[in-house]
Amino acid sequence: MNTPKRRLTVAERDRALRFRKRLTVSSGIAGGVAVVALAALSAHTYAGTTTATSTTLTTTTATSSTAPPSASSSTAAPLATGAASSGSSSSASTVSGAS
Amino acid sequence: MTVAAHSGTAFGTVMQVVVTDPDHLERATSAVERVIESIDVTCSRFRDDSELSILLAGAGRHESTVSETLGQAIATALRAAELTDGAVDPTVGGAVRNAGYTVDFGALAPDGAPIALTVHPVPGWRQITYFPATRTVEIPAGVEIDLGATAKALASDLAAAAASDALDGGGVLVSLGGDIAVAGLPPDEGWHVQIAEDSRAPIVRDGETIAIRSGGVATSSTTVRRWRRGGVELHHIIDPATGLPAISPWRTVSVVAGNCVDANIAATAAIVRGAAATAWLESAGLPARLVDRSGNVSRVGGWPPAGAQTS
Repeated sequence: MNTPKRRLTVAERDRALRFRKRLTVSSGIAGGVAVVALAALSAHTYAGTTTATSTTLTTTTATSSTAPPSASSSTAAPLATGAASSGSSSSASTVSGAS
Repeated sequence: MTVAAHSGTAFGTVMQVVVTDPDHLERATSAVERVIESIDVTCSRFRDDSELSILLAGAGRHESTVSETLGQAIATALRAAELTDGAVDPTVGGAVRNAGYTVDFGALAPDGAPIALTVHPVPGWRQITYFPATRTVEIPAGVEIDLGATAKALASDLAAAAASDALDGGGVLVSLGGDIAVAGLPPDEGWHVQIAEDSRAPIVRDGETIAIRSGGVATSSTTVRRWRRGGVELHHIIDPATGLPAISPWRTVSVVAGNCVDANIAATAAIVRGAAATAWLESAGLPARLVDRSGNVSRVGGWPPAGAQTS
């Protein structure tokens, strides 16, 4: 047996509308925060490898009120390439080996 | 090629300074020795009075300000870890010690009683936070860092640069235990470097030799710095994933790069990465020579082919 529905009072309706508005605003803020966080995360991604774990995130958090000193892990330059040609043992002045 | 050379010891290994102008040798050697002393007093984990030892003794969740030299060494080590996805990781200090490498290698007993070895990944380089702008570093308690993998190569680069700055023209080559950096104007035919597994090997007539004009060469190997505990052979290249001496198809890897640090990073990472190393070195554009455990040699990335030595 269904319970007869009661009409909302004006005060109850306004309270519900205010709640819905707060919910919408909160969701928007949370979404914005998520977007910013994802953008920051992608900015700290290097060569397909995410580096924004504890090191980088700590950097961001710890320095948010000042000019951010970049953590070394987020700005790594790639390995510098070199070139070798054939040499002569009679001209060799040193040996590269392990020590 | 007429060059002048000076040999000595540093970091428990052979130090060599070679210059194109014999008149420059003394000045170049002095500049190199100053850099070596600076690196040793800051980065050595075998000196109780080193800046690194003092830093680690007080390690914990607080920031410490470090010297420019130690800061550079830490930044170099963290960069190595990042570029190799952690294959070269400075937080292997505890693992190296657990494997029995507790003192300078020259004083390490070649044989000894059994030790307990357990598979345990190292803490990981991301545990370390370093701020270059303020030279502050944060190391959690219990994390031991060992800068040995990259600090010696950094010393070669800095020493070669310092020696070159101290000279009026000409070129200089610095070798610290086979980690080689060159600076300044090279000889006309380049710097000729013989490749071996052990940097103490003599130069031999038929030895594979390459020529470089800039940058650096480094070799990493599991065949040197070995010791035995309980009859088990151990070596100093730690696989961060296991915390144990790396088990690799490669026993020795030599790499040519734009500087000695990068050559060292790539050579050590190749040992740890194992079979995947050749493709990685190729994609990085780094000339490399890899010797497998049976002695077979692979050359990748533009490394000169075998038998191509000039007369």
